[in-house]
Amino acid sequence: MLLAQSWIPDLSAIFTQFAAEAVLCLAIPVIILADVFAGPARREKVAGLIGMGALVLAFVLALIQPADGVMLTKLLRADGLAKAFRLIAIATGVIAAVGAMRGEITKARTEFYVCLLGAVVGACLTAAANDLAMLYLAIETLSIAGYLLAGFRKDNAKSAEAAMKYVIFGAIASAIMLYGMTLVYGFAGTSTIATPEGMTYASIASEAATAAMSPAFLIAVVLVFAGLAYKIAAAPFQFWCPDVYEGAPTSVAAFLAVASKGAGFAVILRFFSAVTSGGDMTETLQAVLLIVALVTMTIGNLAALRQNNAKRLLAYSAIAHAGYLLVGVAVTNQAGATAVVFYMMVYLFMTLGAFYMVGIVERQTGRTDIDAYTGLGFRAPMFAACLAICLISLTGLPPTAGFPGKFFLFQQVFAHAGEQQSSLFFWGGVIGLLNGVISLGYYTRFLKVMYLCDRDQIPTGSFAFGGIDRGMVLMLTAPVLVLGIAFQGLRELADTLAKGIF
Amino acid sequence: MGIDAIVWWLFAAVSVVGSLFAVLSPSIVRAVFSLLLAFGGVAGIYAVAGADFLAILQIVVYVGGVLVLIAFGILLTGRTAQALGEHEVKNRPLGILIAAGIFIGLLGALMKSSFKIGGNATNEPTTEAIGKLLLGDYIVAFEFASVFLLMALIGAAYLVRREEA
Repeated sequence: MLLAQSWIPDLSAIFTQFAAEAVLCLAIPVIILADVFAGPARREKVAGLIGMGALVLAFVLALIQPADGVMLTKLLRADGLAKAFRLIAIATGVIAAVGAMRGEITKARTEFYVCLLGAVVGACLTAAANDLAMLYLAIETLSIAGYLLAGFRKDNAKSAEAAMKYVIFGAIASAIMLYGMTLVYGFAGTSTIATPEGMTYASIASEAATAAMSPAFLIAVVLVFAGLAYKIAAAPFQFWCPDVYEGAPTSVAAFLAVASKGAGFAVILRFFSAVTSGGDMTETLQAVLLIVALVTMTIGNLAALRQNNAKRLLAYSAIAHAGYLLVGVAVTNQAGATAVVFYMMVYLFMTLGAFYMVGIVERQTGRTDIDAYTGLGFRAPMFAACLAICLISLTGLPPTAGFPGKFFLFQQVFAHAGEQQSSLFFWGGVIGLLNGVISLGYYTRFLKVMYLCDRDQIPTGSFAFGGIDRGMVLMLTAPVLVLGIAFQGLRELADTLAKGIF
Repeated sequence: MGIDAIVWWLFAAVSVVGSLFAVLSPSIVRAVFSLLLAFGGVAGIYAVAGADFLAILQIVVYVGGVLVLIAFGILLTGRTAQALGEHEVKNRPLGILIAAGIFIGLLGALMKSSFKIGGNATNEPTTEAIGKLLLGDYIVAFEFASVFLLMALIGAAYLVRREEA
């Protein structure tokens, strides 16, 4: 055969290993073509139908796709981590799409779905990328789709500001990361993160520990991490987060808070497992990660205390959660990765639930400040109860899923402190727990205005909470409660999916 | 110092001077034309390093595309002369200090490190190898880039489109 040359890879695996991504990619031109042929009257409906259909189909495929670690032409890896974060990204895409269709996005659904599908597939490939070039392409797809989606409310000046800020911060972070990647590539001589034999960067990591190269290696890793820190909104790259979440459509903010952050954490886990797999640099990198984690959660929690805007408050809460999750990465071991995957899955439900409910209130009252929630405990008991469950879970209290999530993360920190005799990790764990107490201060403000308000302050008029909205909220809140008690199954799943990362 | 090194330093100097002018010039038109020097200098460095394809791409994409686009964008918006002059830079000493600190730190660390990737010492054409990589190992990335560009195009067209009320 003419084509059967040695340099042409066998791509037959792509349709079994990456079927979900393939469906999402194919749906993009299909939506555009459908828009052309549907005509103005049916255009929005057709776009919604195809977009949602593609997302749901991709989710089903992602559920049944194997996660056996097969490499696709060295660029992508179909392992458990890829599968976990692919499921998270697509599920977030589905819920964000439902929220957007119910709320802000009434026109230009074709364009919205093209960007959303692009963002989802970007997040999936970011989590699966095993090559620095592929990784950069996937991250940029996710970022640029994010910029477009954040600015989607063209009639809203804040939305435009959000998109602009996101672009400028994103461009700088991207440049820093790319510089770090070139250094890593130069030191290691390969852009492949892991090969079947093991971690490619392990050798340079161990070389770096002994030779004069250690400062350069550390700089390269920190530069790459800086770009990823921007994606997960970790300090000192968190400044964009509140403004962008406030200005962006609420469903888009939810997508950025879960799918973007998740993809960032998948890369961070993959990258740090590669660079900490050998040598004495591991301890330094662990300390760097832990300190960034602690600073991030403290900044997020303290700033959230002063917020009166629900979207900004959730943004600072998202920053704080980036800190909690980074703690699980900082221990750089298998159990830590399991805790991160577990927490990410819990975080998906509680954060999307909270954002979805903020979206409902915004749609009905046109407001995002906390006072808009006054008396909801009496006006809409079901709604208020669901929001309360999500917020209690974000705080990390039992009997919600946030409790086992935080427990597993900080368990690893104290276990690591015990094993390594590390006082840094011990005090890090203590600071982390104190942060949980601080966060109680602002999450309970919602509960206070919803339940403990004066009777005469309660606005009259009905609060509509039914149909699709009620179904979606219950679907997102029920797992938060159930997983708070019966978390063993999810923990085993997280353990399977995180296997082999470290 | 061989002829290669002399040419390399020449191009390096051109790109650094061009970049400095682009950043420091108060006139936006001059800044854009200084970028021409910077981009050209980088293309020259690629060429000296034996990356012929990359050097041509740098000229075609950056000088021929990006730069012309920026120049047209500025010339067509009208206010060219003092567009940047009105902007007062605060904290200039602090900025210079931080930039210099980062530069010295990076330089010190990188001088002591060894790179496994060297230049194209044999000066063979790289186009064939790059083509094989793009349609071989990197085919997934190559194809995915088209999805990415399509999405970016559609989104950008939406953002700049004027809505008919």
